[in-house]
Amino acid sequence: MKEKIRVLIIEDNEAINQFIKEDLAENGYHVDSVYNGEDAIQKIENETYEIAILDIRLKSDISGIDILKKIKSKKASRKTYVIMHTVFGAPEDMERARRLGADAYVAKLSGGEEDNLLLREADNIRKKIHGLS
Amino acid sequence: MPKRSNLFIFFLLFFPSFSSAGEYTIYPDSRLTGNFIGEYISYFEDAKGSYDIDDVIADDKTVHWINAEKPYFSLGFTESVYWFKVAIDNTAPVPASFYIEYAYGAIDEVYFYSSDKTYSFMAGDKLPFKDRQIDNHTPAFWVQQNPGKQTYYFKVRTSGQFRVKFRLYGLNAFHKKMTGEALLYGMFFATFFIISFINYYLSLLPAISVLKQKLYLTGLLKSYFSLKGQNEQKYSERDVFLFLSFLSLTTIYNTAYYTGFAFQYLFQYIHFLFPGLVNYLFNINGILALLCCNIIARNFLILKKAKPFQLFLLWQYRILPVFFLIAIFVPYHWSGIIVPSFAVINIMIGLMWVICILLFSQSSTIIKISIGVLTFLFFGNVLELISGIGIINITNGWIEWGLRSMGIGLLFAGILYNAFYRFYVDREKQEACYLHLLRQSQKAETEINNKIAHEFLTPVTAIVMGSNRLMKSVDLPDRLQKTAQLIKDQAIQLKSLTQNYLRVVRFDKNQEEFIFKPCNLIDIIENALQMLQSFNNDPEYMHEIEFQKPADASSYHINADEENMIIAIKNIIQNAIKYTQKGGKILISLGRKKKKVYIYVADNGNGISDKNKQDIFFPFFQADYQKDFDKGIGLGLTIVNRIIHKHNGEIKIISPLEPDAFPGLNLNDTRKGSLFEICIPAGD
Repeated sequence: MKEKIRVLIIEDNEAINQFIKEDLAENGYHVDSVYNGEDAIQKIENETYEIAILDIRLKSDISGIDILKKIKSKKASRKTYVIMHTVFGAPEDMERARRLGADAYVAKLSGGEEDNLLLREADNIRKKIHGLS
Repeated sequence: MPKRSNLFIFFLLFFPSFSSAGEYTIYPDSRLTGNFIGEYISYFEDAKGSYDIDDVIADDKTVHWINAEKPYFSLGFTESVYWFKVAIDNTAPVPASFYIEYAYGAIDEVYFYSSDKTYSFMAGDKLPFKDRQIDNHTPAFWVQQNPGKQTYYFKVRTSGQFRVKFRLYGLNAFHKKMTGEALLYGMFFATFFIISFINYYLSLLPAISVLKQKLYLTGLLKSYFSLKGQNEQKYSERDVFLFLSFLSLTTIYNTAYYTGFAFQYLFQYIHFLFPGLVNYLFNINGILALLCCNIIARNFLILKKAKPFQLFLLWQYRILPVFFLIAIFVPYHWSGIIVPSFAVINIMIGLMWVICILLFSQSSTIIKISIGVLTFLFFGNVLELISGIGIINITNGWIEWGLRSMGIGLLFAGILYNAFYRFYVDREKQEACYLHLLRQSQKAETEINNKIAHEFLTPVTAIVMGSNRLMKSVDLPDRLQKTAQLIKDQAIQLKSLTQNYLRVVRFDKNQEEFIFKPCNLIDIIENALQMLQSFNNDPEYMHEIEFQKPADASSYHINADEENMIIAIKNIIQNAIKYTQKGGKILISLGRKKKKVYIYVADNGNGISDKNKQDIFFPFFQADYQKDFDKGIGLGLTIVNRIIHKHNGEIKIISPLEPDAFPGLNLNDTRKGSLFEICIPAGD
């Protein structure tokens, strides 16, 4: 049995946070979740995650983009795969995230399937990680 | 003073000089245009005031007449009576008419006689000169003289020093002077008044619209209060109000001032007949206006909102009435100090005003024109100062007209510049300000829309995710599984509406950034179709959707924003799904002509009426036959239109279709069919 992939969910909506967390946990991930930017920064600094699922529009002072920059600028967390997630996929947001090093962006064109898309993205990443190791 | 008994000896001693006094020849008449005749005047001092005209004529040979030998000269310092004598020779064969004017003499009374006693006038007020109104000091005596010589006498009573300034005017010249001066000054001041009024009114207009239209507020503040180191946001409506009040004050003041002048000169004749009347009116007018200004100014001082230089301007209106009051009641022998000092104060105020304006403002039309007006006033005041202290005699001189013309020239230049500035530069500025504000408000509106939409989207997403989880749980009864599905469907609909709305708002405000990349149209269509799979599975539709994939995929490369293009294609197909009766058929095909690629989406629905074809792309438009369906809020095709246009593409609607246009569609009377033809520039 391979080691569980560690995922950090940064999402300020409690319900969405909870659903993603449950989905991923049921599918064999080790999941930590935070509700604001401050906690997220703290977690990133203290622990290592393979995947971070990041809401682009956080209500806290620190935005999703700030956290993305933080993750990608630190040596310890640079390798973390970042999946950007938002309720409205503005192209300029996506492009910006992409430029800053986000690995995936869950677009909301699908209507009701973002949880499944998130899971699919996470699974892809897991395969990649396990395949590499 | 010499005793009367000694006068004869003096007369004998000075006889030769007496005889040289000569006569003033008045022919031709046209020569008399205000000539000073001092050189031809002889005078003697009647210290006791014991002579009357008969004595003077009788004793003419014994009285010691002194020849003045100057165009004009000063006498006085004694409380006495002076007698003047001038002989005038009319060499013309006909009678001559002329005026003898005694200009600006500080005299109490002047009596005028002719040697044959044909004429006998008295001029002057009942009041002694020192208690009299300043302006009443230029009597003129009309005379008609037969051919030959005639001697005229003046008896002048005074309590101070005075200048002897007798001038002769021919009849025509005098009337010309009076009417000319009156008309010239009157017209000049009337014109000045009208122009300055129009100017101020023009300046006030946009400022008034500030109060009417708050949208202009910032823009105007920016224009009019562009003080150094401060930005427009710091100004409140109260500042505008203050500013407006300054303008009003200046307008009131100038109006009063120049109307006064205009009247004074226009009614020169009235002034002539009723000395002092117009002058009183003018001064009272000025005082009333200034008192109004003073009241307003005081109110604003109480507000204490004004900045230092504004305070200064306000104080000006408090100080000036005092000077007017002084000027009106001051005895004349003080006026030698009052008039020049008044002018000096005016000049100082004007200069300080200009300095303040230059220091505190950057570029304002009002300010520029104010400087023009002030420059004019400056020259006027300099003029008053010069004449007041009597450095030079400038009456009718070139210096006076030079200064006045310079003032007028500057004023008109200012007005022209102002007009130009207002109609060309200011308007552009205001439009720019307006656009700037409009953009800001649009930005704010978009921000709000964004916020609302996001606030909507987040909980809706949570509902969708929640229902997904419910449906995944195996231990949930079928009945509840279906309920979860219904919740999910409704939430998705709400979500897509909100997303569409947000998208349209973003398009409208040009906020949607398009990121163009090479991509393939076939992939885009397949993506869109995949998204619509579950939508079409609704029992209400269940259409057969056929994508006739071309063999040559490489011909369908385009430069597009992939995400948006998928949305556009998806919306068109979704539209076809929605408006085709259950179990219909939808055909999607591609075509390529030269540098353009074509996407055809055809269906065998009811067709689209010509009227609807025009309106279909407007936001919130819903086809009239849609009453039966609950299909959204009419934003789908609006978004399509905007996306396609962003890609320099075009959309064409053809409906109803020719029966054999698409054989696969089985068109008939109820299924008339429609075709959306989208044309986009090819990517290669």
